[in-house]
Amino acid sequence: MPFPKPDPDRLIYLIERVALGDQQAFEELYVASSPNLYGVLLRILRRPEWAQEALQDCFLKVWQRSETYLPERGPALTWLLTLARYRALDLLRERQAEPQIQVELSKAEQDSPLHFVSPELPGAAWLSHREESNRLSDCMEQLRPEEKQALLLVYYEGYTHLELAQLLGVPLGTVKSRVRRGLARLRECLRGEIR
Amino acid sequence: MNYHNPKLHKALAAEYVVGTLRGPARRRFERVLESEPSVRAEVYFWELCFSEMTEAVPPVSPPSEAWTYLRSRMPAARPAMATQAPRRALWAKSRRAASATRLRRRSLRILVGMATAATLVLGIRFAQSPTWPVEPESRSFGTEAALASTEQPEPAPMFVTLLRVPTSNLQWLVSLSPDQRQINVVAAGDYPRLGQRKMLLWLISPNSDEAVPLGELPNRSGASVDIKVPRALYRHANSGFELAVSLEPEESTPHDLPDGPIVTWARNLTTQRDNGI
Repeated sequence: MPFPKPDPDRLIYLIERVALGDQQAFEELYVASSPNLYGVLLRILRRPEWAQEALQDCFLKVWQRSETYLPERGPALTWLLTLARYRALDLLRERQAEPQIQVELSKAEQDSPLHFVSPELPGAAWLSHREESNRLSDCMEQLRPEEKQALLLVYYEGYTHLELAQLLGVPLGTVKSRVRRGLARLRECLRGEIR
Repeated sequence: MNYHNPKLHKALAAEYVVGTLRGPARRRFERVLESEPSVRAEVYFWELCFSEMTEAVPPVSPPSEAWTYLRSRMPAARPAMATQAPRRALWAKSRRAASATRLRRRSLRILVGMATAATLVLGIRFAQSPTWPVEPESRSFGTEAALASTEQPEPAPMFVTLLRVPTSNLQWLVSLSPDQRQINVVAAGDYPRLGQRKMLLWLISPNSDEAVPLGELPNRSGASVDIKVPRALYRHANSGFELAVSLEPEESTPHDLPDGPIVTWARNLTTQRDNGI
């Protein structure tokens, strides 16, 4: 189901109202932006119960600290999504020691006909938006393939250096330098384009 | 650590935003953020840059109970910030006509200007990668890329997608060999006991409903498999296609369509012929 993109000005207005303690504005803000935040949280955390918890944490922070949003820093949705990403990363760190739940497909799932259970996946999702070419994706295209891969996986998937090294089967130092070099190249490219 | 080193704070700010700065180092950096405006500016710069990627993630409706739980966790009232709101209201009013894109670009300019300039001199290579193979015969080995750089890019696998089984850490990293003839799949995560079953990778064309079995996937963390790129894939490459993973009986022979359930898929994979190397 397509979601309407939240109106940037309306979001700013709602955040201003929330800063004044307006609960109705808070609810409207939640309705307008929570699907965007939940999509990102699910992408990084993978577990719906964690994503829900992180979503609540984010909106609690918005309720308590909405005055920390400064419009001159960028669009309100960017601020909200940044809050969500950071909360997801913190939650991952907190839960890292916990055992992972293994997949056990139920009998019903095994017997079901062709059934697609997963929405678009990160790489595909991002790549599908390439046609709406923007500055970042243009610059990403100028990275070496292994640098682009590393950045997509750490940003979209929340991988640590170590996890990425294990996934790719390369030394930890190689992964670190791919991320570092990729970011440095990206920065140079972005600086060049916005001048 | 010397956080006044501009090169260091640029590097740390970027790693903070993409999320590779973790644990105590992240906490230390957050303390620095509170006291160093130039570091904050650098962080804002990266947050804005990457926001385009975050906003590209498809929205998903949270369950309705999420709101109920949120309300139950909320304090009855919050302290009103009367001193902050009017300033923001005035600012917002003055920019009603500005689009979000213009706002983002303007913010970026401001932030770049604020950030201390310790220019990194880097030889940027312009190596582009297609997201899916163009037929090897039709490839042109571009001289433009070679002219754009004096450094020859080393051949590297091209990232295609990450197939992940929801609510688990079971996943396969799919990449394409530099010569675009082999698909490499690397498994990661904790595997369930599959019993007398196996995981099969499929190429699916959403336009023609054609499904082509590509091969059995590795089911042990760290194991990998190379699959020859079938000609069928080149045929569908321009129109967009999907990859899917199905769970099949061990002894089954793949036919036209998966018999078992699809446990995960990736869609919107396309050929970027213009970017062909």
